[in-house]
Amino acid sequence: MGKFSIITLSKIRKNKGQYITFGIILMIAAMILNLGLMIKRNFQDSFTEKWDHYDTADVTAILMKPDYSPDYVQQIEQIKHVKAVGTRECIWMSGSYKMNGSQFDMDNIFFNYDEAHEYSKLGIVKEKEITCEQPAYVSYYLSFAGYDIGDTYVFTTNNVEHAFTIVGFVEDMTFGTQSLGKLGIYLPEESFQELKDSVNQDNIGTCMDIKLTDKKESKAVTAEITDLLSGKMTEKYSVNYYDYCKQVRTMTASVGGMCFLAFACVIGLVSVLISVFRINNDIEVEMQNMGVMKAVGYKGIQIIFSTIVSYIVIAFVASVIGVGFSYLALPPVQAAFDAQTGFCWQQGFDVVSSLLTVCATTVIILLSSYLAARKIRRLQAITALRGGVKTHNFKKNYFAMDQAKGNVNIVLALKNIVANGKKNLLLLLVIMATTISAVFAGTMYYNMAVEPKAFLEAISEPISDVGLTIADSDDTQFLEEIEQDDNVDFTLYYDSSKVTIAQEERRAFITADFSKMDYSICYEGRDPIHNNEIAIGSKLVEEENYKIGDTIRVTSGTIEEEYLITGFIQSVNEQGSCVELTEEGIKRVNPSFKKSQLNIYLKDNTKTGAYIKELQEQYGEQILGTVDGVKSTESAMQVFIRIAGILAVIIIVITIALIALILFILVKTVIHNGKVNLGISKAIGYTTRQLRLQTTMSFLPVVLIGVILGGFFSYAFMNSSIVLLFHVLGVMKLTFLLPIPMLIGVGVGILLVSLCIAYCLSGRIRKISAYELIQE
Amino acid sequence: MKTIIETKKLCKTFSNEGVQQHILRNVDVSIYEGDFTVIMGASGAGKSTLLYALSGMDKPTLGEIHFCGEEISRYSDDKLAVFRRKNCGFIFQQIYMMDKMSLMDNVLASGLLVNKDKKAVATRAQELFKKVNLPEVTYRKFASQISGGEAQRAGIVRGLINKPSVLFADEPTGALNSANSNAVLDVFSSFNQEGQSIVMVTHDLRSALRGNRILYLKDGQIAGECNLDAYTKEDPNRRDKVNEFLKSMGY
Repeated sequence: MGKFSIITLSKIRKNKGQYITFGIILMIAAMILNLGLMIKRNFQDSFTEKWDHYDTADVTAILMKPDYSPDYVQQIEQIKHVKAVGTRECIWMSGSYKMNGSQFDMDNIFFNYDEAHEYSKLGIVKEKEITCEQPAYVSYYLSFAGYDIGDTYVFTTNNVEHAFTIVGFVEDMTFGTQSLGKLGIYLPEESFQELKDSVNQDNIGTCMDIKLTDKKESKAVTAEITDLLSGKMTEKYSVNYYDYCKQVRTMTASVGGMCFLAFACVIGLVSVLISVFRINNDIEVEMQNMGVMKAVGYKGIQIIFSTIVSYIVIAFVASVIGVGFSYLALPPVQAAFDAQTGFCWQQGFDVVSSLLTVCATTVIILLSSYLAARKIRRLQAITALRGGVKTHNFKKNYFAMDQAKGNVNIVLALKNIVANGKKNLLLLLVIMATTISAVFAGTMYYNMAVEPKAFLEAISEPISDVGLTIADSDDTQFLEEIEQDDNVDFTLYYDSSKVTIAQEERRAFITADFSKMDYSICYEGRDPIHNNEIAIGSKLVEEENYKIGDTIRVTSGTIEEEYLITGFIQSVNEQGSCVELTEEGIKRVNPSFKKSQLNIYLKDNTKTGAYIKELQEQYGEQILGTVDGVKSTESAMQVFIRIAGILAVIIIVITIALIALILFILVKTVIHNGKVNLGISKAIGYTTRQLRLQTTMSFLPVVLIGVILGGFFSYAFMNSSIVLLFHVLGVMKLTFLLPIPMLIGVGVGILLVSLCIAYCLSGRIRKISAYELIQE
Repeated sequence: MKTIIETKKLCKTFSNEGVQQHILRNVDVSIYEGDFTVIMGASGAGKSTLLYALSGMDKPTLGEIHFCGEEISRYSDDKLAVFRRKNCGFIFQQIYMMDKMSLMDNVLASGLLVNKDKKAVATRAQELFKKVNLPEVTYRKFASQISGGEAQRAGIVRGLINKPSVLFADEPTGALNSANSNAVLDVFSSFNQEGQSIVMVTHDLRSALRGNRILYLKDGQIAGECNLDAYTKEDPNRRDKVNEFLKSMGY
């Protein structure tokens, strides 16, 4: 073993720059891989751990006062797998509150913080004793939406403002984010009673916390509870369960984890290419030494081992360091996810992920190195001593200088390209991969931060400039006046209501005529037109394997009807668990349905804020609530813009670092291998500048082709790739803009960065002296 | 005779881990136009060091080098490169053809540095290849595909493509067999007869006999000089004269 450690150390010492570079690339790959593995492996588990820690009810049902009866508790207790049922009082109101400074539509459920209850306990993340009139504990999620302790939280419902002072942030595993369409607010006894007394009694309900013997049965139990309640409810009601909560609360992290893993794979692939390239180069350079080793009695496998062991050692050491760095990079990632998930993800040292990362990195490099080096076994000692068989094909002289057109430096650069085929192939693949990564980052950022229309269309239901909650939709005069306003382009009622399909509660999006919408969320088939038609969400399609043309049964209250499926729709907010029905269609199962949400689309130059103010002044009584669509969208987008910004910066920094590191290895190899040629060139009169330009220029066509191919593949497949990545969120179609100027900008940027790096790195040509050719 | 190169108190010192080695010590030497100057000496005497200093390939530690009237010893690396491409041709013992280029491309890579007219340079290269007896089928090949003698003759073509003031040769026959050595030396003699100034370093007596002036280097200084102008190439006394000179130098 001693002899191999001597060989390994001497090799690393001799090419320390290149080994360090290789190590840095592997370290980045290991760091990102470990982050991805930790997220994929632990994030969902950490949700479950928190769920268990707070003894969260596995199914939570909220029934409003007129519908609730203690009999339901007894009946639910009889359902298989139900361990116990606890109850607590709550106030459920529709309304809006501020998110990052602008109004946001969302139901709030107010609980009595001091009421003793066995299940669904809260975890206090942060609190402060403040003397105030209306104290409230709010979800930890709001601490990322512009709120801090001591701030006032205002919930507006039916033009009435309820203001509370935030005294603490809590983790609530059920109603902790907007993902269930309801955000939990927790008021101390006195505040709760005060609110209860001030609101309409129809808003008071009972929350049943249902604990199961096995939470894996939560979906099945939910189906039985829905069956039990079906047809008996006169008011709104809600049933949520563990599996669904887990899915919606952890999906952002799942996508983030997948992004990390995908990026780690790209860098890992680059590392494999580098190790193969370096080993091939080592074999060429060390051919005679290998001949000597064979001649003195080393076996083929021993020489292979001595060739690849340095790469394995570097891979091992770099992956261990990379794993260490991944824990330094974890806090900002945790913070970004906390903002989405509403609970603190605390991740300690993960032995399994770390071991997996180190083993995977080392084994991949070991295998790729061995496969590249195994040709050494076939090498005869005498052949190796003579310098081996030349790997280049010299039979054809490409770009013969007396026939090729163009400047001598350009022709020489072209000859270099052909002569360095393998290096150029490596560079081509790396430039392609980095171009695609950079375009991905640019596309995400552009479509989230600069021109978010396509992103919004993908993740949300149609958004209008102004959303009004109307007191009486039969008031046709009011509607006519609004439609005739010079600022208004057109109006459309767009409501939603809960229906039950396949024993699960789903959201139905309702409008009279879907063709009037400014865009369709339908990704296959078409929106419903007639009252017996329905378009169903992607989750329903996957769960029940429905096809267009099938029929589906929809229940609301006591009525059940059959509808014809005309299309499939996407909805990130509902994770594909939703349907589209026409106004006449919903009335078949809910004859008392009354439209209340009016979408107003304004003309281009209208100022939304001023228009809303005008509306409120003029029609104060007819309007129960207003939402500035643009502002609320902007505020909801803040978190996505932040994540996209971080992602873009990380990818671009890593892209530049990768290009620099790869070019460092390539330029150094080109100069090292071409030392004699460069010396001859200097001897016959080429200046250092000319040779640096030649070396730099020799990378130009490869980088250019890599950028063009990368750009082409990005342009052709970016949307389908992003759909694949976001499929888990419920995204089925995507029309992200990929502006040509951005594509060209990324390409030109990579080209210039590459050439600048190559020119700077080729500065070491200066050190090569023609005089070195002298041999005594 | 016109002096092409003149050195004044030329010194070259190498330093290795604090130990200094004085290779050239106050060398004053002149190289004349049209001469075939041979530099001889024992191993380590500083022959190649002097050759590369004279040709601007390496910079002296001290002293001056006047080449065609220009004082080149303080030129920057790039200025020296430009100077070399116009005034110096080189032939190396190890030949040093660029391995990824055909012989013709090697020659053109040098020629096109000075003359941008590709056609004119290619025509001159073809003429030179013809003179050194290398047919087209050979000069289209790579150096690794031909014999050492052929490669060295191509090296001479490369050295002469820019019509240099002086052709410098560092043991040009050192790596060749007897037949190839003679062929290469014949080419040297032929070009010298046409007026080409040549400075050649050699160990080999047969090669030295091709020159008309022999400088003997000893301990970094010119220890002696032998002029053969009085003897024709066929004169049997020429060899005796050289032998006698070398013997007196302790060779």
